[in-house]
Amino acid sequence: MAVDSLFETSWRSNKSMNPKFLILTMVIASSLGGIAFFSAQETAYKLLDASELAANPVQYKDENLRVRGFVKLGSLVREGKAARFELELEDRIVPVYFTGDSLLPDAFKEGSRARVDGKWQNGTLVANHVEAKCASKYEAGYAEEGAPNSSNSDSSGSYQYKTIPKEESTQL
Amino acid sequence: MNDLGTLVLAASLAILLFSFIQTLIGIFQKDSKAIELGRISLMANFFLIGLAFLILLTELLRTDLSNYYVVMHSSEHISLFYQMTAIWGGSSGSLLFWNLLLNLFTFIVLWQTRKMVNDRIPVMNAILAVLSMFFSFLAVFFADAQPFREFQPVAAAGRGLNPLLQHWAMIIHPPILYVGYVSIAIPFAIAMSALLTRQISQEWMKFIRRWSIFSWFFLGTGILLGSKWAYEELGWGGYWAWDPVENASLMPWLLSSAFIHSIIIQERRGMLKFWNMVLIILAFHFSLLGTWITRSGVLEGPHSFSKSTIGTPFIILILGSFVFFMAAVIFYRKDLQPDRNLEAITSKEGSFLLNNFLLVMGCLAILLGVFSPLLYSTEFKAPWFNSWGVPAGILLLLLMGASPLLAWRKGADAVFFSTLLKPFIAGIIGALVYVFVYSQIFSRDAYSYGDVLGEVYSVITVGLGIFVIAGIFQEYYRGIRARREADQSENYFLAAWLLLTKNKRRYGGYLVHLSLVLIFIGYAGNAFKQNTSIRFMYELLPPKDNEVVYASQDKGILGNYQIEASTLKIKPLPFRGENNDFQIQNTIVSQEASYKISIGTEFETDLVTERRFYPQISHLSGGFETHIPTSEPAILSRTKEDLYIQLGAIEKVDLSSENPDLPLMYMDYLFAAQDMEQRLAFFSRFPRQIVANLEIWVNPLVKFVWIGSLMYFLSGLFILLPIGEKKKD
Repeated sequence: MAVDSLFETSWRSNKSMNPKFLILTMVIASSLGGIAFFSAQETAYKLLDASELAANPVQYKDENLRVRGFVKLGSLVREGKAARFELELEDRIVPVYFTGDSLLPDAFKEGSRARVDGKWQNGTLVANHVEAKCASKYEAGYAEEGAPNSSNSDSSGSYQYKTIPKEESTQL
Repeated sequence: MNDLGTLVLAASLAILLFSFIQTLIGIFQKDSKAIELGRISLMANFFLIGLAFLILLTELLRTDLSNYYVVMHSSEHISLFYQMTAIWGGSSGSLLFWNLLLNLFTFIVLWQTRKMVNDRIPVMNAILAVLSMFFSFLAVFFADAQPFREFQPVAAAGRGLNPLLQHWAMIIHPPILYVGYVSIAIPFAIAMSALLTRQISQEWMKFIRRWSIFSWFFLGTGILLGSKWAYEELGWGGYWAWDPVENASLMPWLLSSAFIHSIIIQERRGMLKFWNMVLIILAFHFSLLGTWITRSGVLEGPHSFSKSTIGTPFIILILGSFVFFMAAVIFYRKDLQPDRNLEAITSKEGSFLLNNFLLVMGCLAILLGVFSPLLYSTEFKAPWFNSWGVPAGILLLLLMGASPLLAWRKGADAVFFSTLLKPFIAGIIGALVYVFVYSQIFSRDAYSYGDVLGEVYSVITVGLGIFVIAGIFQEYYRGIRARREADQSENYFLAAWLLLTKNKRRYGGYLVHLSLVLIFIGYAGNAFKQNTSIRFMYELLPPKDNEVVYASQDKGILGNYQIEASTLKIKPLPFRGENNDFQIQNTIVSQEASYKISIGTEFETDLVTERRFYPQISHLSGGFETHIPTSEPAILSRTKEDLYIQLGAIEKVDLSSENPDLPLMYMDYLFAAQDMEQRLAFFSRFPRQIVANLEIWVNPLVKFVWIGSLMYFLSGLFILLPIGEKKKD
């Protein structure tokens, strides 16, 4: 809207270069937009809860997925750098195969909260990247350190202890 | 103390309401006394907010555990200095700080305009009063913004400051960035006031320009400091991740960059008046948006929208105000008719227009990327931003180089041979030299062909960078020559200095361009970035003192670098540096790994990288709750590239199950043992052998980013400060 109005005001007296300029900007915008659009096919991740994926896995075939859940107790089997485990949320379970292309973070433990990036293939979530958070009692909401996507360069809100249960703090 | 603070904030809200009403009465009844009263009460509010700020600061320094904010963001164990800086470590404290800065700038601008009784624009007072009222309102009524919430009964301990914030750059980065965010409000308020009262004079434009350069300078410096911090503290080998919080600060910077350029066109050519109004409105609202994104944690996760209570008022303010002022601009569009039209695309005006177009489009695209997790639960990662951001950046670089060399009104063909040709040739030669240089000296993996598109971008960027630099030299050279022709007595240095100080905007601006080019060249090195991880096997040594020591003799090789492991110590690190007084609450567990680095066969240096585990203290029991890990990378910085290493995950040798929790074992070893026998028992729980992953990056040309950043800071400061300016009488 803003860009349109730029041209709208200076449009009236003609014999100007505005139409040519408009075409040039459109060419630039559409090429950059095209790049962004096609790159999104590769680099955009669908955000899902493990329960959503478990409920309807076929729908998310061939998509990049980022799935949240808890690592199920007793499900972790390591195979060298690769690993198998199950992601659990609301009593639904997603089997995960971690390819070992990256490292499992230290915080990754059975019972911890995890965010798994991968694709749904043959009934398994094949993942190449896993982020984890300790399931601490108060869930201090620190950005997962070491992970670019959640590491902030600011003293931001994401560092706050965001989910301290209200009843805990009022009870005592 | 809490009651006093709350009372002060309530008083601030009241006085702002009073100021706003007085100003409105003054405007509508043309009553200058009422306007004056509104102005003075608005200035008085600065002292109220200042008092509230001091109260919170005092509570932090006293570790007053009856205050919720203190309990959540500070503790008695951190140093005095960090106790003070905890004031911007959390939401409500930093919103109070925002309010303080806003009132400081308001105070300054009201003071600056005190004598311009006839020309003074009272709508500005009203706008600033409303804005400040919003923050005081939040601080009184919204839990997430209340700095003086009671914690009853008094907590057992403070939870401490987020360890990521315990770093020098983090001390100065937030306030600098905030100064940038907040100060946009001033040029915005002046511009809107000029618009609404239909007094769009050149005099006010100068005022607006100075304030917007101020804001732009602080935003940019804040962003660059943040990058430096990310590089040295976060341990993932980079400095920019297109993270929401980073993007939040980049967007207003892009818009204010666009604004300080297009305002030149308005001054020189009488064009873009409408557009400039739109830009300053956008810049201001994006700064509010940035504050909201940074403070509310709205983009933490896709479903956390409801968690922060300040989200709704922020959205209402941003949208309501945006719609109102956009409507005002459209309503008064007749006042904003351009004096002239664009005559040639490749003229100077044309290149400024394109620059504006790219900056604003870039900003909107970032906005889309930032909010896509909320809007349609899709997350765009860094490669997406880079996919369009790099070509857009390259186009901007081209414009940055060409624009100073182009002529007003005429197309590029008219001036090609006289101004563009030489820098153009320099750029091509520069690009060719760069191709030769990187193929010879960068540490490159022999087995991979790398990212071809990235390499092409990198070469174009460096070539264009040299084109820009050559153009700047040519401009300086011509300016100096012209001065010397007029006055033979000036030597080259004097001529250059006078050229710079007599026309600071132009020649100082070129210095900023130069610093941005250096930063871009640094970015271009990313195409040749390398990343790998090496596994080192360690054996446990017998116990000695407090430390648990593993040793290794493994070696790893990356390109020309040989990395030889020596020890990996697990050791205590007290918060305040006092020795041997280790308590659970004040002791960081450090995993400290040392490596010998050789280049070729020559020993170069020892690098020490750490993983630190900060104790999270429970505010309810005062005891240990969990560990918060942070990274301490080690960097061997050379002219052509950085070797950047970071100790990563530590695994069992057979990878049989989850990784061992060494920090917790160490806590038992250090604190839980009653006697020697128990201590040995705890010691024997440590695995005999471990595998430590070392993350390694080779980052070419990073030094250019930091040199460019420093230059951005210095040249911006030079433009802002009255250096070399003669006082006009």
